[in-house]
Parts: sequence; C-alpha cells; structure tokens
Amino acid sequence: MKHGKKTFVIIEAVLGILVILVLGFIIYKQNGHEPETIAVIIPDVDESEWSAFKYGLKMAAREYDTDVVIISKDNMETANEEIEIMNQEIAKGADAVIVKPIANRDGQQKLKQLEKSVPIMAVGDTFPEEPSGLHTIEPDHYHMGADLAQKLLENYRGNLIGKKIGIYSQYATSEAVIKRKKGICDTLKGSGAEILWSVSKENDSKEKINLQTQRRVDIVMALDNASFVEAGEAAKDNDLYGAVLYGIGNSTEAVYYLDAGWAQCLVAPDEFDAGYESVAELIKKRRNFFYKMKDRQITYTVLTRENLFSEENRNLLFTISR
Amino acid sequence: MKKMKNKPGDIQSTIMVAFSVISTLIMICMGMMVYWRFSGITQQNIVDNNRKMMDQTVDSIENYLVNMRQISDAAYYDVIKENDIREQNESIHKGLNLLYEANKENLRSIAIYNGYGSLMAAEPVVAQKEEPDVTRQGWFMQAKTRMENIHFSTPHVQNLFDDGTCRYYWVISSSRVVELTNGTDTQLGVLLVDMDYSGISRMMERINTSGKGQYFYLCDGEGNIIYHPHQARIDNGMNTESSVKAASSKEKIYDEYLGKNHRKVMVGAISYTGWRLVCVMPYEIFTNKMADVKQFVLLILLLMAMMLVFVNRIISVRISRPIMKLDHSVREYQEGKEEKIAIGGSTEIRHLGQSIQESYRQNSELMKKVIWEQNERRKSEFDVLQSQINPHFLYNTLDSITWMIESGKNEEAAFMITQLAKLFRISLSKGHTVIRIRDELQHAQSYVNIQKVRYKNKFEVVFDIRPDILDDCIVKLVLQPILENAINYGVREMDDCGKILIRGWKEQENIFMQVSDNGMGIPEEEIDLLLKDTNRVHKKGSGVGLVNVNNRLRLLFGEPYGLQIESELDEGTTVTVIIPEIVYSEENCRKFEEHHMPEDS
Repeated sequence: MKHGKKTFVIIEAVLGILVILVLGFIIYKQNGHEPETIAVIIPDVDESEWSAFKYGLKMAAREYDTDVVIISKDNMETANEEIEIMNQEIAKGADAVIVKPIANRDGQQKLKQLEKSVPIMAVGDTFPEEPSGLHTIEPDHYHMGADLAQKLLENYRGNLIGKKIGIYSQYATSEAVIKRKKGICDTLKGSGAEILWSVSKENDSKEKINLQTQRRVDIVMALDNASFVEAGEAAKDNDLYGAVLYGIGNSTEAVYYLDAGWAQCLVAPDEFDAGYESVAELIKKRRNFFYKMKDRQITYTVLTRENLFSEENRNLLFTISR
Repeated sequence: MKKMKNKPGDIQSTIMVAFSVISTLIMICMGMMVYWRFSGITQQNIVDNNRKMMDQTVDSIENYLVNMRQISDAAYYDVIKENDIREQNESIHKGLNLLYEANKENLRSIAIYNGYGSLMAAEPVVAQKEEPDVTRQGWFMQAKTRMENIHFSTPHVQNLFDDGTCRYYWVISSSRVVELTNGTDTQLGVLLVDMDYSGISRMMERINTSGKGQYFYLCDGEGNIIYHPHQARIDNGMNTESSVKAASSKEKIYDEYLGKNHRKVMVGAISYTGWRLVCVMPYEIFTNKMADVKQFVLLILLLMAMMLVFVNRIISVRISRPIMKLDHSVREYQEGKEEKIAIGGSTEIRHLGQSIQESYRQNSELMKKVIWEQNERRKSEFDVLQSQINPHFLYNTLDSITWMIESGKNEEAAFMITQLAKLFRISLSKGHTVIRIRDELQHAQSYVNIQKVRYKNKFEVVFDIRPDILDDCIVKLVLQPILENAINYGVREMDDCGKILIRGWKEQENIFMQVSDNGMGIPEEEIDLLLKDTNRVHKKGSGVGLVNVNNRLRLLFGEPYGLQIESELDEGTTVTVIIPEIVYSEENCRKFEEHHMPEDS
C-alpha cells in the first residue's frame, strides 16, 4: 500500500517536472531568441571593392537569420582606434566581430585579448606574426602575386629582358601587400625584368606618392584594388606613359579598366566567399560552443579581356557588380 | 542460474498499472493522430500559401514580360516599321527615346542592329564598346535562329555600351528579328530590348524573405537559372540546384531528394517564355512549423498523464480498498488479532466478506465443539483412571476387615476401618483431583497402615519427607498404587526384612517423591512395560498399574513429568514421581483441574 503511494507520488512529481520543463521551453520559444548581431568593422567599406564582400555578408545573414551591422569610419588609421570601435560595438551587444585588421604587433595582441570575449574573424589583410592566433579568411597572397607575375611572363613569352617594372600599392605596411610583392619578385627572378621602383601611396614617411612622379617603366604592377584603380585611371589619362598595367583588385572600376583595355590582367579574389564564410564561421561558433573556428583560404581568378565575360567568370562579375 | 519468479503484485498496483498502461497507449495514439492531422493541415497550408504566392508572382512576371514584349512590339511596329533606317534615323531615335523614357525604370537600353551586327540605333545614346561583336552574343544568335519569336535570354552583363560610370549592368535581353527599311530595300536586323535584371530580382526577392529554408527561383525552359537566392553559391559550386529537373517536370508539385535533403518542389510555368518559377520547400520547414504543435501536444499529453495517473489512483484505491481491507482483516484473523471480518465495497465484495465471516464463524464453532469434546473425553478418561483404584482396594481391605472380625480381632478391625475412613476421605477430597502433598502422604500412610495390618507387619515403611514440599500440589492417589506395587511385588513375600522407604524432596523447581523397596526387583525388559502397557494383566494387587499413575501425571502436568522406574533384580526397585513445584492454593488447584489440564495435554 505504502509502496504504491510512493510510486504514485514519484510518477506525479516526475510528470510535474516534465510539464514545468516543457512549459518553460514553450515560453522561452514564444519570447523568441534575438538573432545574433555581427559587427563588421572595415574602414573603407563603402568602396566598391567591398561590394562582393558585402553581398556575401548579406546572403549569409539571410541564410543564418542573423543581423550584420557594418561600421565604416573614415580616417581610422591605427589599431587602437579600431580596437576602440570594436569595444564600442561589443558594448552595444555585438555577438561577434568581422574586422579588417590594421596590422601591427600591438594590435594583434589586443585582438587576441578581445577574442576571449567574442569570436573575431579577420578579413582583407593578414597579421605580421604567424601563426597569428586569430582566425582569418583571406586569399593566398603570395600565390596571387606569383600568378600575376606568371601571367606577365606568359604575355611576354617568358622574355622580360630589359623590361622595367614599377610596383605600386596602397599601404607599405600591409602584410598582404608584402606577401604579394614577394610572390611577384620570386616569380620574376631570373626573368631579366628589373624592378625599378616599388612605392606605396601611404608609407611611414607620410609622404604622398603619386604615379606620375615615378620614373618611367614598361610595366606597372598594382598590388591592391585601390592602387590598381588609381593606376587604371592614370593609364586612361596617359599618365603611365605607355606602361602596361597588371594588378590585383576586385571592384567594378578595376574590371572596367581591364575591360576598357587600360589594364592587361587583373587577379580578383572571391570576396563574396570571404563575406559569406566569415559570417558562417562566426555563427557556427556562436551556436555551438564546441565548434572550432577554422582559417579559410578564398579562391581568386586571373582575369584578362579575353575571359572577362566568359561563363566561368559570370559569378565573379555578378558578385562584384551587385 | 536461478530462475526469476514473478511475484504477484497487490491488486491496487495491478489495477493502477493496467489503467495507466491502457490510458498511456490511448493518449499516445491520440497524440500521434492529432499530431499527424495537424501536420497534414500545416503542410497543406504551407503549400497552399506558397502556391498563392507563386501564382501572384507568376502573374507579376508575366505582366512584366508582357510589358517588355509590348515595348518590343511598339519599337518594332510603331518605330522601326514606320521609318526608314537610313533616311529617318532621327525619327527612329525619337521613337526609341520616347519608349525608353516611358519605361526606363525597367529598361536598360533599346538597340537595333543590322544583320551583320552593326549598331543602327540605340537608346539611351552612349558610346558603344570597341568591337563588341554582337553576332556571337547569345541574344543575337537566338533571334536569328528562330526569327518568328521574341526571345528572352538568361541574365548576363550587358557588354555593349560604355557609359563611363565604370559600372556593369545585369540585364535580361529580349531580342527579335525585325525588318529594316532601307530606302526601297528591306533587310533583316535584330531589335534588342535589355530589361534591367533588378526588376525581376526585386520581384523574386520580395517572395524570398521568409528565410526559413524555403525559397523561390526562376529558370528558363532548359533549367538555366535566371534568379536564385543562392546564385553566388551555386556558381561557386558550394550549392546545387535541380533546375533542369524542375524545368522538364510534367508535374506541378513533386517530392525529391537533393543530396540528403528531402524537399517538396512546386513548379509554375510562365507563359510564352517557357520560364519556370520554382518553389522549393525543404521538409524541415514542415517539421519546424510543427515544432510548436509538437510541444503543445506534448504538454497536453503530460497534463493528461498527470490527471490520468491521479484518476487511476483514485479508481484503483476505490476498487481495491474493500478487497485490501478484507484481506487485511483475514490476515489479522489468521494471526488471531481480530475476529471481525471487514465487510464493505461493492455487492460482490460484501458478499465475499460475509461468506468468509460466516465460514470463519462456523469454523470457530466447530473448533470450540471439537475442543470441548476432546476435553470432555480426556476428563472422562481421567475420571475413569482415577476411579479404577477404589473398587480393587476396597474389595481387598474389606476382605481383610471381614477376616479380622471373624477372627475376633476387633481392635485391629476398628483400626483398619479408621484408616480406611481416612483413606476415603482423602480419596474423595471434595471431588478435587489435585491435593496437597501432605494429604497425599496422609493417604499413603493410611494405606500403608492398612496393608501392614493385613500383612502382619512383615515389612517396614519409613517416610523421609522434606517439610518444605508438604504444601505443594500433587495429583491425588499417586503414591498408593506405587506402594501397592512395592508391597505386592517387592516386600510382601520377604520374611520380616522387607523395607519401603518413601522420600520426598525439592530440586530445581521440581518435586521428587520416591518409593524404594528392597524386594526382588523387576527384570529390565518389564520396566518399560510397566509404564506403557495398558493391557497388562496384574496378577497381584488392585490391578491398577503404574501406567495409570504415569498417565494421570502426564495428563495433568504435561509430558516431561511422570514416573521413573529403576530396578535391579534381588536389590530392589525405586519408583520416582516427578512433578512441578506448584504451591497448593484454591486458585492453582482450580486452574489445574479446569483449564490447564486439557490445554497442556
């Protein structure tokens, strides 16, 4: 009799607990969970070179039902400024951060500290120290430079003897630019070409550099989108004095200069993939505590006038021109 | 291995478990039925909603395309056919400009090419790219292949004009072959109307806002994708789409597996173009939609389970309580704690209780009767045993007295009569069976006195009794048969040297009364028979043997008590009476005679 009563009480208690749990779960679900907010901090995000990246962010945000907030601040030049903005966004409730790191060792350490509170994904550039300890999504900068130089060699049938080359980039300190340049130099080694100058628009001396003032060369190699567009504009205005343009870029302007014949070759990284995968990785990490974020390497395409509108490059143009 | 045996449970648990199992099964069945029904309705609702949305979008796209065709028709019939391409170029431009300006929200450009791919006129007026070679472009080739139709291309980058903005426009080209009037000649050309892709993509984006897994895409009749929300990922090879199957499917709605994804696909046809608007509904959305219903059903089931367990408990208690009470009272009855059987509950259980009670009552009466009868039988047996003494002894004594009187020994006869009177007084003892040892010794003394007179003092009798046992209980007429045996079989035949010693003492709460003689003794094989053989024929004495005494002692005091006989031939015999030490009182006496004696026996 007593045993039966005990069993009855236990069954009722267990059922009661289950009812409370299910009820709690239903109420929790009815209140709904706020979608995650991902802050994207990129200084020059309004530039068209980020169109494909932003399209990738948008697609991933829709796919994963999350909010992406893009923060762009002019004149954000130091790592400290960037870290301060990140802190502000985290204080506002950002659950994860996508950032184009303004690379220096101090900034890298601070990002590492910050990653303990929220997951961070670095895009657009790389870190001076490797392994960086931070997660990045980027193309293989060295091979991009190497493939660009290879295309140059192909176009000149491997004979660059006597050819003078000028290398132009936006930031001298950018790790991506340094790797790309190394890729070019390594590939052109022994080709007979002479790298006459290698300048950056913004450098440690704070001296503003422009292409017109540089010594005449046969080939200009632009190592990033901004320098490629600037070089394309210069070529259009005949300020390159007949030099042919090879470069790396991913904006409609860059494509336009290739299409219009002011450039010979454009190596375009798949920034859509970078945008999409950065959101995807961060969301996976947010939604699964045990998920280990991975570094991703995005692809790139070597574009020429001949293959620009081909079916294979349809997607690249589609994402860049969104 | 030891076999597990199913231990029968109590009725309440059995009823409750049975009710709970049945009700749980019913609940689960009901829950599943409700869930399936809701699931079916929800699925149907989702499909219906998407069908409505798809029908509306198909209408919108058709209207959009009809508008484009109307522009194309207007350009052809109202502008191109009405004007000479060479002489009335200005009119053509004006006409195209009017059309463009009226529809520029949806138009990117209108252009007329001759059969060799040379641009004849275009609106808006911008620079044509160097060497575009339109004859190798898809829209041009399509128009030339099937000249009677207006053709719609898949989206592509417009690669014809350079407006200097460094921008690339995604367009859907509608192209048709037109007759160009060139003076008196006519020549074939191609009219190109480039629709801004954003018009279509906006329409498609409007219906792709749910973000819960389902999506709509647009493809042409061959499965080439015109719009897809995951376009970039499909082009990257990260996603796949079964657009070819959708384009060729005869069914409007079907199920398919794409990889591991089970999905429902709904296809709508867009007239004239052969385009297909496809709605993809992964089965996850149905299950996700049903998640709320599932939780609600689970909650209801749990609440019902709680209620049912409670109700089952009440029902099982109500059904089983009278049975449990009955069972409990029967157990109590069996343990002798309670004699009343609990009667309650339903008619059947009451009847059962009453039957058991009646059965127990009858049983009890029967038992009482049996016990009474047994007591009576023992009592009568005891009385018979006790009464066996008197006739034998009386006969012998009276015979001796008669002999004395006849011999003129009146004084001795008087002594004998006096002793006989004492003997009988104690024998009667007011009907008591249990008497004081003192009285029993007096009785033995009287008997010895009578016998000594009878046998002319041929033997000596000595009493050695400890005074502290004189007031304890003993069954009357115990010593006399022993003395009788000692005299008749022991010392009677001896010549003045016979000796009988009667001793009495107490030891460990028992009393020992011992009669020893120095007679001829009893053979060993006869000792046992003396105490057991009731059919033994007595050759001498009263005929009442030691069996009688032993039986009486055991009947009254119980099994451990009685007589012990020790004998050696030519040495003598010792008979010991062992009884418990019980102080004589009226109460003890009555207790022994009325109650204890039957029970102990």
